[in-house]
Order: sequence, then structure tokens, then C-alpha cells
Amino acid sequence: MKYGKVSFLCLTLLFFIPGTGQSEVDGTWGMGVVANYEVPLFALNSWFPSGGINVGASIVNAKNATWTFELDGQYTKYNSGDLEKRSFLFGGDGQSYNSPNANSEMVWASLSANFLYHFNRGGEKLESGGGAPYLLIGAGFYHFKNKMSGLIYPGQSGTTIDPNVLLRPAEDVRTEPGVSLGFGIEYFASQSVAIDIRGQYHIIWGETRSMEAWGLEKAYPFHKFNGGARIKFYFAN
Amino acid sequence: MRYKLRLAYVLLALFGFWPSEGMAGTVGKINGTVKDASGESLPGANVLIKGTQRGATADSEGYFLILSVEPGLYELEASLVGYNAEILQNIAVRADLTTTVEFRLQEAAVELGELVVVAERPPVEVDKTVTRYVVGIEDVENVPLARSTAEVIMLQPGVSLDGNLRIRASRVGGRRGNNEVMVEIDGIRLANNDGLDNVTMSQVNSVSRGAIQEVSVYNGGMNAEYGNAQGGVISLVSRENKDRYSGLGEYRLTLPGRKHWGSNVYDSPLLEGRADYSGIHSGKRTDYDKKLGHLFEANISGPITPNIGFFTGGTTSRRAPVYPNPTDSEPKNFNSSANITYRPSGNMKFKAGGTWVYRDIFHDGGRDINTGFETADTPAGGIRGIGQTGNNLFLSGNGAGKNPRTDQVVYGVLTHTLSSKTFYDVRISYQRTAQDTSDVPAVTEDVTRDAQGFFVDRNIHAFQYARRTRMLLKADLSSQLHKGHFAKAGFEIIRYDIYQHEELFETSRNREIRLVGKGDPIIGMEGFNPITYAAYVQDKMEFEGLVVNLGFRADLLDPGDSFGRAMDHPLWFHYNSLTRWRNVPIVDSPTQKAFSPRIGISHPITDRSFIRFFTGQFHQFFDMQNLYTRLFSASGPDRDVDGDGVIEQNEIMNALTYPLAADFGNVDVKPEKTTQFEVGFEWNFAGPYVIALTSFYKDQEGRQGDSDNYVHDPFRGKNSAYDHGQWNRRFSTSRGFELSFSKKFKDMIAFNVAYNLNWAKSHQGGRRAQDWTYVATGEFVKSDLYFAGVTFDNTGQEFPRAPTAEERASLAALADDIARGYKKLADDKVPKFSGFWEQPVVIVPGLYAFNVGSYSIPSLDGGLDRRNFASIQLLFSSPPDYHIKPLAGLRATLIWQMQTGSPWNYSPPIGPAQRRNRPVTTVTDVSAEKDFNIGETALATAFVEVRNFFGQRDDLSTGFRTIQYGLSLPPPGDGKFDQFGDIAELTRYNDGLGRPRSIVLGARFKF
Repeated sequence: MKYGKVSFLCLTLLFFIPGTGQSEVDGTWGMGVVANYEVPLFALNSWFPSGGINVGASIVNAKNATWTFELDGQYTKYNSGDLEKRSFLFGGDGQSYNSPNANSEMVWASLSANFLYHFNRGGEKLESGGGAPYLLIGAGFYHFKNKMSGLIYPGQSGTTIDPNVLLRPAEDVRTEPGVSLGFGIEYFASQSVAIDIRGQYHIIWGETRSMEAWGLEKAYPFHKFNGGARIKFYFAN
Repeated sequence: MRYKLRLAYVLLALFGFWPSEGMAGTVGKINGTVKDASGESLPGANVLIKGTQRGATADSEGYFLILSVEPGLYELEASLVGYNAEILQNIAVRADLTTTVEFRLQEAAVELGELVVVAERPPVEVDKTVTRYVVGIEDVENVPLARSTAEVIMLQPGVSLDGNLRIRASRVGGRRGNNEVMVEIDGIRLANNDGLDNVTMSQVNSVSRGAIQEVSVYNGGMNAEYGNAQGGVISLVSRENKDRYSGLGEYRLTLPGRKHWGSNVYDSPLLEGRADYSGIHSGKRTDYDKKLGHLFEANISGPITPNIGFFTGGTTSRRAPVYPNPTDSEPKNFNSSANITYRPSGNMKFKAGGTWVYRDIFHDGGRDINTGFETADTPAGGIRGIGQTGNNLFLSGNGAGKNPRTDQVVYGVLTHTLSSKTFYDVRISYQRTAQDTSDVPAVTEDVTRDAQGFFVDRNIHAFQYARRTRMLLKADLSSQLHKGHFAKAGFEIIRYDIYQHEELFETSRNREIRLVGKGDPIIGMEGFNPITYAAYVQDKMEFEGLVVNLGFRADLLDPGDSFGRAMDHPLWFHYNSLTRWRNVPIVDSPTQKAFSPRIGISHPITDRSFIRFFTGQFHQFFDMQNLYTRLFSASGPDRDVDGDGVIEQNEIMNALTYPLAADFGNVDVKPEKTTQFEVGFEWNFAGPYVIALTSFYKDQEGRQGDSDNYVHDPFRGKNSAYDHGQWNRRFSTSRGFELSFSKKFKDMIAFNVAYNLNWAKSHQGGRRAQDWTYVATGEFVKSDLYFAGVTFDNTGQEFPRAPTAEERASLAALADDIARGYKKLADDKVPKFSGFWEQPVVIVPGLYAFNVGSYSIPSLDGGLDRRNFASIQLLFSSPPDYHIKPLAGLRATLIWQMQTGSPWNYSPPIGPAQRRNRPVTTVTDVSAEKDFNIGETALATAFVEVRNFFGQRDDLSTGFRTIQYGLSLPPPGDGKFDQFGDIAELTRYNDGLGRPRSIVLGARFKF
């Protein structure tokens, strides 16, 4: 299973975190759930301009008051890609045609290791409460599947288009590394619950195929942005 | 009471330890100062490399120097009466680098005892003037996924990931090109550019991973010590061991599974349903995809006497085949290397070593007979496999015999330190490469098919014997003239013997022969003996805040005897067959010379960052096979010239003439030239993190390329056929960036990210680049060099026939008319192809070559331009006493690689043609291994590797439909696809970085 494949790869990243001194929050573990809205950018945006909902979960370790480590899994689905609405020019008669049964969607599943840098030892607010802004840097593997089907084949011979001649359903499937940068504020409502508002920008070394008959060029690499909220539950030390 | 005080890591900045660039090829040096606690120099202090007799005494300024130290890790001890001794541990010495240390001795009145400091290797070398990456033995062991020396090198920035070890779009050799990357072992050149596919990959893999002490990769900028190369240098230093016995044994098992994309070949749509497994083909399916793969490596080393140490090791494998082949396994192969090191005294060392590589290759019966596996020209009925669109699949093996190859090198290196500042090396070596054939059928049978259209076994006469021997003498003198001034000079002489005889009789009528040698197989043949000479000086000067590295090199090639400028010989009727060629005179060839200046400058900004600049010229002689090669072919039987009803000895092979576009050697060429510029920056910005950026530009001119040659003979007319002579007609550029970001191993983690952005363009052009037409004038016709036809003797040997006086007169007049016609073309600059007719050049008095230039616009080189390629390595390694027991003694590695596809021409619906790149290919490999201690000195390791962990399959389809409709498969309505499936499935997804996922299990034992 793809989640199983990606999961163990980032285990070693647990050990990246540098230490910066002692605090009562040091070594606190937690877990979180996240809901974001995700928007692809640049070339990928032309494929899926409306983006989609992103959900996920994470395991959190507050290494110290400044640094927090997250092992973050996310799932996103983009429905109704722009390919469904686009038309193509048929050379046989010079007319534009749509594919009424076209379907275009993209599914993402990622596992990444994130490192949160809380300004001014903001992680201590886990004990005292309050908001702690942070910067984030992350890296991990992103699995994606770009699916398309129901497209009328524009390369038909003759002068009359046959709407029943369809391209075979196709998929671009890859698992590629990516990096992310983000900014957020973690509000510690109590010693065990925090609400995290975050915006995160991702670059992934993936590629779609070209569909230039519909005006869609190859997207490479991928850029996307997701923003939303997550709830974190911390366990007592 | 004495005690040891250990200080780990933090003393790096205090002691200012870092290596800097030296120029000793396979050895480094150690220098530094000995001071007291207050910083005063301590003249007379002794510095000793522990466990050796090597050392030095500090001078009046407290400075010491130890030259000629082999790469490795050492302990240094400084001592002086009245002071406590100090030991520096973990001092790394690298070939071609200077390691600088500083001792601070405490007075003996302060009872600290012996001070032991564990040094840490500095992340950057601040006075490096060229791009160079060094991988030491400990780094090699930390990347278990790199199974061979070549795979270790591929992880360095600037090195291609396509399996050819290109450096900055360099060429890798072959019949019509140079191998631009030089490979050496222990200072002995391996890449000799004398043909026989001396490709970099096979050369570096001739030394197994376990036999390597250190690998250095120079990405283009090279000191003057290195020459006859343009792309870079890969320098291998072999392991030595005289301290204690150690050894390694490793076994790798590759689990069964299909090693190619698509269906099992016996069920593949490629066969279009023709295969009948119930009748004629039943029992002929092989279980090629169920085979296990095996690899064994072992080495042992240690002392023979206190002054003599030895190392020996080897590797052999039986990998499972990708496709069915004659044995459904890898043919026999073996790599071995060995050396003995003798140190009779502290200032002298003698090392004798050698490598021996054997490959038992199955001959595929095709023209590219060096590969032994299917190639694009594998003939019908040649070798079992998927060649000939699957029609070779049901052959029982191969009918063309075997093609075993051996490469061997034996060498001796004497290093003698004359004084504390000066030493010299002398190297001699004998290398031999031989590729032979065995079990060769005497005749070729005709092609036959079975009822389903598949080819049936047949014998193919495909013989090859190729031999190269190289005898090398090299000497280098190095001297630290004073503290900031290190000079080196040397020379190198290599004598070659080049011999090659290939016969390919593809059918009972079609025959082809390639020869490299004097004579021919019928009357006897011997090799050509070119000699190369080289001399260089190099001077490294260190100033305050600036390091300047100046070098100058001179190279000379004496081709010796040759057929001269062979480009027009085969076109003349009196020379145009194998037997008529016996009359071509052997001449003493002109020498080729090259002078190559180089300069590198480094400016250390801080002790952790520097910027550098390098520029230089690099010359390389043509691959020597292309100075002497001849190719003939026939499609009919030999001729009974003297009509006696018998094909006599001198008539054998007289039907073989030069075929269309045949290759003929040419010694009238110049060395290829590359001018390179590079600017680099490295910065150890925090802790173990280093970022490096290099920008480079390479301009190549006079690259080898072939031009079409014609003769317009007044006797025979203008010949419609043409041959190819190798000439300096190609140009290329390569420019780009290399970016690396790394974390040196610390806190159990290391990583290395290497990214390359590279544009490679090439074209052929300029004057004389398109074709040559040789035109005789009356002056030539009237000379003794002109012949009109042939005559023969009673043995059937043909000779050039001198024209009669009347013939000469009429032919001379005709020749002048013809020449005037071509001259008018040149005077009027009449266009032809992308150029025009240009003024002639004189070949010999009265014989001219009228040329057509070629002025095409440089375009992206389809073979070399990979635009982006990158790798990410991630290593986790825990100590044996790690507190989380399951993770103790564990190493895990992840390597991700990517490369942009090669360029191709795309014609959009509207607008001009565009250059597009094929899709990106990526692969992720992972491994994990765990150590188990066995007693105090032995270690067992179990490991698992998963290649292409995510099963990444990359579709490399191109074409209008791919870009417009995203189509990689045939379009809708394709009858064959609808009936059989994807006929191209076996090859559609190859040529990427990843074959289907494979799992390797293994065990290693070390002591």
C-alpha cells in the first residue's frame, strides 16, 4: 500500500532536530488532525484551478521550546479539472469541440517531515498558554495520480468528428520528493490542546503529461499552496 | 601520573585543521606548526606519524612538512623535551591535498600528561582551485547502495546518471569518438583512447569497490599533470594494508522477478500472437524471469613482514538476465586487483600492483560486436533475445560464438623522498586489452524461418581479434620550494600496439572486414605503434588571501607508420579493395602537438568559505583506432583475376571493396581542443552543512567527425560511392551550473543533494566540414603517383597500372578540364547543402581537395543534453551502543535520482519546429543494514536493498500525438493494439533510470 511504502522512509528524519537547551516542554509528544484548502499554482493551476480539500494527521514532538518536529501525512483530491471544460480544435473541419463525458481529477498522498521554528522560544507557551508564531521547513515524498478519461480523440481522420472515438483513460502516477516552506501560529489553548493556523507552500518534483490540443502544457515541477487549521493534542510528559 | 585527555570536535576551530590542495596525484602531504601554549614557535619539535617511521622536525619557525603520505586516517604525535606530547587523531590525508595541523604543547611542569585530540575533517578545502570531489573509503562504506565504484562516482555532482559516467556532457568513446574522461589507478592511466570501447564505466569497475582507498573526481578543471583528456579525471587510489590482517566477504542475492517492463516476453504483444507453445515452440520457453542473481566480492590484506603489506580482492557475478539470452544468466566475469607495498626505509616505498578483468561475452553476430548482447543491428538468427522484433526469441542460444575480453594492468611505483621538501615518483606499467572470439563457425548459413515466421538457429561467421598493449613510463618530481610554493614537474611516455581484425559474414554472400594494422589477414598483419609523449610543470603559490595554481603541459603524438591520409586512398580504383590496398605505401606520419596552459585561483573568504576560478585548455588526440582503421565489404564471391580457375592466396578477399560510408583512418588531423572556464563558491555556513555552487562553460573545437569523401578520377569518372574519413569537423559547447548542499556525517545523519543544470550543444561546421572531392590536375596525372586501372601477376595479385604515355596525355588534359570545373564552383561560391563550394587545399602537388563547408546552427545535442539531473542521498547510521537497541548498529540509505529526458524535435501544428525534452525519469532506491559484532574484531552485516522502491515506471514516448493528446500508446482504432495489445511495451519504458522494482538480500563479513 502506498502509505505503507512511504511511511518508513521518514523515520530517520526524527533525528534531524538540533537541541537548544532545556525546558519543561522538551520531548513532549502529541498528535494532530488537519483540514486545509489547497490550491495548485502556476502550470498545475491551469489543470486544476479550483484545487481541493486537504486533510491529514500528524505526529508531533516538541523537541524543545524552539523546535518542534512533525511527521505529517496529508491527502488531497482535486476534482473537476479544467480539462473537462476545455475544447479542442478538430483539424478535419476547423471547429472546436468539447468532450461532454470528460473526467479529470488528481489525488495526492504525502508523508513529510516538518521542522517548526518557534520564535522567541514560543513553544514554552504549551505550559503557559498563548500564541506562538513559527516558520516551517519540510521535506518528504508525495505520491500523486493524475487521471483523465472520456476525452474525444482530436486526431481522427476525415472531416467529421466521431464523438464515440475516445482516448483511452490515462494516468500519470509518480512518487517524488518535495520540499515545503510555511508560516503559522500555534495557539496553545491549554497544556494539552493547541490550534494551529498555517499556510504552507510546496514544490514537488513531479510532472504531468502534455495535453496541448486542449491548451494544457506539461506541468513540472509542481507548486501548490495549502492553508488551514489543525488541532493538536499533546500528551503529558 | 599520565592520563589521556580527550577533546572531541570542539578543537577544530582552535587548531585550524584543514586540508588544502597539493599536487601529488596519489599521495598527499601534512604540514603545520608546533607552538607552545602562548603561541611561540617550538623549533626542534619532532612530529611523527604513529605506527610509521615517517616524520619531520619543526624548523626555526616551528613549521614542519611531511611529504608523500598515502590517503587515509592517521595519528600524529608531536613531542619535545620539556613539554608534554600531544597526539592528534583522525587526521585525514587525501591524494592531491595538503593537510594542515597545529600543535600546542604544554610545558611538562603543567601535569596534564599526554593530550589526545580527535580531529574532525573540515567540510571545505579553502584553497581548492578546481572542482574536485573526493570519496574516501569510509564514505564509500557509508553508501551501501552504491554497489560498484562507478555507482559511487555517479553520486557526485556533475556526473551523469545515464550510466555512462559523463562529466559535464563529456563523450564516453566508441568507434567515432573520444572517451573524454581519463581514468587512472595509483597514477597509472587506464583510459588510453586507443579504441576498443575503453569506456569509463568499464574502466572504473575494473577495480571493485572494496579495493578502493579513495576516489577523486575532477569535473573538468585539471592540473597540468593530467592530459590527453578533456572531460575530467577519475583518479582511483588502491587500498594498502601493512598494519594488521583484515578481510571482507560479501554475497548479494537478487530475488527473481521480471527485470523489464511489460509482459513476459513469451506472452508479449510483440509476438502478435504468432508463438505456438503447443507445437513447434513448446519447451522452448525459458524461465528467464525466475532466475536468481548472485554477486560475490572478497578481499584480504595485511602484513607479510613489518615492511611489506599486501592487498588482494575480486568480484564476480551471475546476474539474472533482463531478457532471454544464450544462457539466461550473465556470462562468466571476474574482476580482481592486487598490490604489494614495500617500505625498506622511512623515505622510500615501492608498490607493485595490477588488475585483471575477464568478461565472457556472447557474440550477437552483429556489427557492434563488442557488446555481445543485442543491439540495434543484431542480425536475424544471431542471438536469442527480443531482437529483430522478437523473431530471435526462439533461438536455442547463439550461433556466432563467444567474444571473451580481458583487461589487465601490471604496474610498479617507486616513491623516494630525497629530503624533507622533495620527493619523486617513477611509474612503469604494462597494460593489455584483448578481445577474442571462440567457437566461431567457419561459414555463415542463410537466414531461415519457422512456420510462424520466427528465425531458426544458424551459424554466423563473426570473428574478432582486437589487441591493445600500452607500455608506460612516467616520472614526477615534487618539491616544496618554500612554505608558500610547491612545484611539480614530470613526463610520461606511452608506447602503444594497436591491432584489430574483425570479420562479419552476415549472410553466405555478404562479408565485412575491419582492420587496424599493417598488412592484412591473408599475407600477415602486425599492429601500429604510436607513441605519446607528455611533459608538464605545475606551480602552486600561496599568498595572503590568494592561492594561484599555474600549470603548463605539452603533448606530442607520433603515429609512427601509417597509411597516411587514408581518406582518398580507397576511392581510387587501384587501391579500392582489400587486396589492392596492399599497394598503398606505408609512410612515416606527421606528429601532432598540443600545448595546454592552465591557471586556477582560489580566494579564501573565511576559513569556511572560498571562491575560486579556473581556466585552461585541454587537448586530446583522436581515438587512435580512427587514425588507422580500414573497412571493406563484399556482396559476392572473390574473383579469379588470372583466370586459372582457382582462387589463389592473393585472390582471397579481393571482392571486398570499400562500402558506402566506410570508415577509413586519417593521420592528418589535429588534437581536439577544449577551453574551459569555471567559477565556484563553497561555504560551510553552519556546523556540518556545506553549500557549493559552480558555474562552468566549455567550448570544444576540432572534435572528431566524419566527412564524405569522393574522387573525380579522369580515368574512372566521378565515383558515386563515398567513404568517411575522420576529421576535425565538429564543435560543441557545454555550460551550466552544479549545486550541492550537504551535511557531513554528524549526529547519525548525513545527506547530500546534488543538482545540475546543463545545456549541451553541438554541430559540425566551418570549412571542409561537409564533403571533400579529390580532383587531380594534369600535373598529378603526369606524376608517378597517378595510375589508370590495375594489372595483375600470375598469382592473381593486382597492382596499380601506370598509364601509357598516350593515356597520360589525354587523361592530363581531361583532368585539367575537370579541375577547372570545380574551381569555378569554388570561385562562384556555388551553394551546396548548408554551405558552398570553397577554395581547394593541396593534398600533394597536383592533387586538390575541393571542399563544401557546413554552416549549420548549433543545436542541442540529442545524446548529451540532459538539462537537469539531480540526486539526493540520505544516510542514517547509528553507533553499536545506541540506546534504542533495535536501532543500534543500523544503517539506512535512501538515494533518489532524476534526469531530464534527452532532446528531440517537435513540430507543432503552428509555428517552427521546437526542441523538447523527453519526460523526466526518476528512481528511488533504499537500503537498510544491521551490524552484528563477532568477538572484538569481526563484524557481520545483514542487508536488504530495494531498487526502484516506488516501482516508478517512466514513459519516454515522443511525437506529435504525445504532446498534443498525451498519447503514449497507439491511438484509438489501432488494429494491432486492439488485437494484441501494446506491441512496444518491452521498450517503451526503458532507457530511464529505473527498471522494475528488485530486492537484493545480502550478507557481509569483515574482520
